Amino acid sequence: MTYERRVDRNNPSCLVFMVDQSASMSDAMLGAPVSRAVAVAEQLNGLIYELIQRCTKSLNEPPRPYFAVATVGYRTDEAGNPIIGPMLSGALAGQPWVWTTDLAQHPLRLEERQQAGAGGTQRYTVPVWVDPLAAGGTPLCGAMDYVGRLVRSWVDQFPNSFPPIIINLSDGESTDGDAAAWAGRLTSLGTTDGNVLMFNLDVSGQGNPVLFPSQMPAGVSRYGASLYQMSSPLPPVMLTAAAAQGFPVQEGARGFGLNADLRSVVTFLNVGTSVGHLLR
Amino acid sequence: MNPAVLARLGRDVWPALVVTGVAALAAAAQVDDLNGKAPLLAGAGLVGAGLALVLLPRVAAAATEGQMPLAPPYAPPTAPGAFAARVALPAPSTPSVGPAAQAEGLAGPVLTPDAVRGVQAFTIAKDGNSAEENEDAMAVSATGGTLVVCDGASSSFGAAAWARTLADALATVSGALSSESLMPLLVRAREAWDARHAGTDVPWWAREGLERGAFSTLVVVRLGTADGQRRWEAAAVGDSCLLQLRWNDGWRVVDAFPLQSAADFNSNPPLVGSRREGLDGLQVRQGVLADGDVVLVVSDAVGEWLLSDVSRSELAASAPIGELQRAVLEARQRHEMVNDDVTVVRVVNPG
Repeated sequence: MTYERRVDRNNPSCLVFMVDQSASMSDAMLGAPVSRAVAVAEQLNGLIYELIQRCTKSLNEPPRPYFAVATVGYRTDEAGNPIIGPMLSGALAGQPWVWTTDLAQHPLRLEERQQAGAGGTQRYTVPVWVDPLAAGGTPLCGAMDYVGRLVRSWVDQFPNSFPPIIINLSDGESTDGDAAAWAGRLTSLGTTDGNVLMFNLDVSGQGNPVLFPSQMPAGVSRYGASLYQMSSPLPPVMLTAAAAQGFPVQEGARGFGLNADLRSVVTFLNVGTSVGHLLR
Repeated sequence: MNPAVLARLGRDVWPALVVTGVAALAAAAQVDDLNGKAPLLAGAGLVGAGLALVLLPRVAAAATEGQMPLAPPYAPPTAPGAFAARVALPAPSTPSVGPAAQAEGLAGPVLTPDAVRGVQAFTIAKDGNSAEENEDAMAVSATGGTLVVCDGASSSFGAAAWARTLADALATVSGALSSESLMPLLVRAREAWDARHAGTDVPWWAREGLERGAFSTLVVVRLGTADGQRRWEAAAVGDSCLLQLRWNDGWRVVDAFPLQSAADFNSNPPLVGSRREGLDGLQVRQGVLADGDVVLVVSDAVGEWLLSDVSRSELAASAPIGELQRAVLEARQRHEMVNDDVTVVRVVNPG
């Protein structure tokens, strides 16, 4: 059986967030008054927040180091040279891997926001780790090469852990070659519990919002289609969790979202008995 | 240590030791004023849970020197042949057992609970976790005839404290098991859990979890007599289970509640929340006990492991409790079960 290993301190897992920072990401999201880059930064901050929630056990201790997180941004400079590397700044700048414990202790800033609702204005705190950026080309292949080396070192160090999950947030337009071949190399890596999972969020703006489809979504762009093709099917344990949380998933559902909120994928991670099905 | 002494320890000292731990729990669980005694109860629970592991080396040393009073060896109480002749037995050929669980309501004829004696138990945290981090909790009221196991949901905030608080509260139940008898105890447990977190400075990463509250499964088991028959009565939410084992030319699981087979277990069981109202998902049922039947109350990982292979029933029913504990931990090491907290409470129906 694969994808069964429960994540804990002795058996941590890792997530790699790949973030498209190319110029096209400054285009507006379909139906939203923000750029793709802003939307993706919001999603990434949300994903890290959700991940930290999965590691939070009590007031007596900081969130546990269940997950190592790599945030890899990719773009090019004015001369077209790829710029690929860790996106975090501040106290966590330059580190390829950061534990959830350290992410919780070192957000870039905490933003106080408020939302008007039926019960009056609600104030809440939003931790921010990354800011939006949009410049240059989309060296997706180079980024996958970089991530491949990171993930390879991880699986060598934790060969029995729940397999690494790579989540690529992009509008899909690779400018440095055929990303599918690189994705195949990435997902050929793995641990004794299964191969690396590659999930993709397409923010290109074409097509109606879709989450975890089991067939190619209608109206998806050519680039979105390539992201769909390279997205791993959700393993049974995540499929069960998704169904329990009320997602209309079917057999063969892929870790792919189109103009959608992918944050829920983190709540499918098995850190023990889930409560997600009770919170919807 | 001499292998012969080790063998004797496994057979004799473990039960005595573990029963001692549970006795502390039983005493604590009898306290009626939960609000006033919550810290005491929690402390007693932790001590009880950790006692077996903490004291083992010292007890082993004492036993080697012949200072330790030894309990009688644990064995099936009746001869298999005679027993089989007296009791009509279902003979399940698959690990799936028992009738489907009843919806919430009166489980059957009114049960008069008897005191339970000879309770054997262990609860051990996940590999790599300390005893304080164990999110399983057990509580026993020996005089009330009540056995409780609660399993806090690992992905919820404050789950260990919630399971502990809940188990201690539920062990004080009186009257037939039903939402009416359990709700007041649940309300008190919720107030106690809230009180633990009141007035503390909450960092941003804990706010959402604290607001959602902790979640736990529960199974409450009472042993007694109804309609002239020895019975168990159980109330459960989620996948902490009662297993009933019987000797019939070998030990078999003849009933299980609320889940009946290994395939019924998943990561999304019904749960009771510390910040929720009501008691959704409660099931209650009775079962008839035969002389010498063994009742196990277990958390999910052990329940699934035992139900997935009938050959494990003998170990579960008749091995010295220390041997069962070792087997469970070894199975966990071999990844036959997930790295979860494990809890077993075992009692024999004396007939």
